[in-house]
Amino acid sequence: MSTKVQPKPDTGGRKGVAAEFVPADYDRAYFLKDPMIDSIFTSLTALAANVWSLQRRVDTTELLLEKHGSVTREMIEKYIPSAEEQASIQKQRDAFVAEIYEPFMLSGDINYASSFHPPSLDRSEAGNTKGPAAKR
Amino acid sequence: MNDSLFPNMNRRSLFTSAAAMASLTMMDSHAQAKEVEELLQYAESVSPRTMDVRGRIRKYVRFPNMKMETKGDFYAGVYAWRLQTLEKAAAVRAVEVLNAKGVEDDPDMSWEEAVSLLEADPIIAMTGRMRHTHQKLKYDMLQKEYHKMADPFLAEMERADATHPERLELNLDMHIPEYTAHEIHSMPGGYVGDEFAGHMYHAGTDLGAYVDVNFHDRIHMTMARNSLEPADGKVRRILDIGTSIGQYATSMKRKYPDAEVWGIDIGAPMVRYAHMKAVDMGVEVNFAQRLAEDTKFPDGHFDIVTSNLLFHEVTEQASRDIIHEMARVLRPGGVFSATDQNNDMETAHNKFTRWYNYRWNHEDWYLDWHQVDFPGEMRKAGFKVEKFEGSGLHPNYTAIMT
Repeated sequence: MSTKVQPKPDTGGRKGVAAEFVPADYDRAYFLKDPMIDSIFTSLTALAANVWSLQRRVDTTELLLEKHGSVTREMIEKYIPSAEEQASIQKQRDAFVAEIYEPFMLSGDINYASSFHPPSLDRSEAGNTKGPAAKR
Repeated sequence: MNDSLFPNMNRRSLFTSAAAMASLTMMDSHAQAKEVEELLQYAESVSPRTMDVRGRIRKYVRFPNMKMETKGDFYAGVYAWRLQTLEKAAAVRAVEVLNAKGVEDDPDMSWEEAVSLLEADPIIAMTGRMRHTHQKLKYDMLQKEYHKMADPFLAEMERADATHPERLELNLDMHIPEYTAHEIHSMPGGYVGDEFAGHMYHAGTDLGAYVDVNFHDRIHMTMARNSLEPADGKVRRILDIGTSIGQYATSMKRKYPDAEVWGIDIGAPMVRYAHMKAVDMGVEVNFAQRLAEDTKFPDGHFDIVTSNLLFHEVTEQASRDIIHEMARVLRPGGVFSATDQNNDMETAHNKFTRWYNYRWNHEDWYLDWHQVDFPGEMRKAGFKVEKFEGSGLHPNYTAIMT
């Protein structure tokens, strides 16, 4: 059974049109070897989203300060980046995302204890990660 | 640079973005110019909404606060990275895993076998983890924020309800079949169970599956532009089934301004949002909370019926019932244009990703969709079937009523 409790908005007496629904069990899903590792990954992503959000706010604040000498919350909230600024933001975002997630591209299919020595520099031994080079 | 602190619209940046987006689709220059022109017309046509408090930036409605916008931007970036980088690596790994296990990638391999062979690989498993995390965090954020600001957002919808009320039909006492009330693609409350289902669908697709092709209804305008019409050229009435937030319906109305256009959906919050969006756009479309398998329209009433991504979200029986209902409501020579996901199953990796979507993205009727011989069912109902690619992101089945 799903442990999820579906939140409902406070409609304050306003008209509501939502109906009953069948809750999904997606909170039960895990894909890695331990559900806690899955949870750590999700926490990492939530943390990273907040870091990116703060980065954008700092960048916008700095930009407005440079332009106007002072800044209000409303100025930050309502600032619309130019096309050039948007392109730059997108590049920064993509680099930030890649920095965080590229480590997960490692297949990790050789356990550290199964490879006593690093790969040999000898060409004939290239790719040999399973044991000591023959000449040693 | 845009020096105004509170601009309503930066048209120069909109034009640049639109041109960049058009170029991504590898369209010829004429098609690109046409698309850019359409985007600009769209931007001109939409009235500002009450909750459109931060101006517009490429998208139809900018999120109401910077935190939502920037976190959403990050989630969109994560989605794109997974699709462009991790999924490609996973496809390579799938081949390596099958080779290592000495298993041939047989097209007849069952889903269960494909999943059991591949699920333990760390990179393939990580694709599932990233998809799931993305959906969870994105929808949690959207639901939390819309609920937090429920009063002004509901007030905005109430105002839209009262604008051209004759174009909005809500049947709140109607029977809602169980299969339609699931939390499809992990959207909280599904299409029927949250007041902000329409808002979450629109924003959620912007930040995920339709990243960079959803704003300004771009993909739906492309589908409408490419859709076939009856051979006699008469298009008086159009029906869009499973209309969701009405993007295809309004796009068809813009293509055929003299036609009477209807969009129907079982989700009352979806229909309500669709109406609000159409009112804002100044596009006259009738939206009704009705079932696609029981539309209540007279026989032979429509010249064109459209659907986009409906059939993979209904049961096998509902698919058949809907196809027969469309055969009933279309006139002889009328066109049924159904766009949906490719239900061919080629590789083990392909089966793994589809299994993920079925089981953990809660595309609960995905297995049914893969059981349906869609063109075959259309033929049985009396259609002459043509299939062609290229009307949007997905294959399109176009059928003529005989």
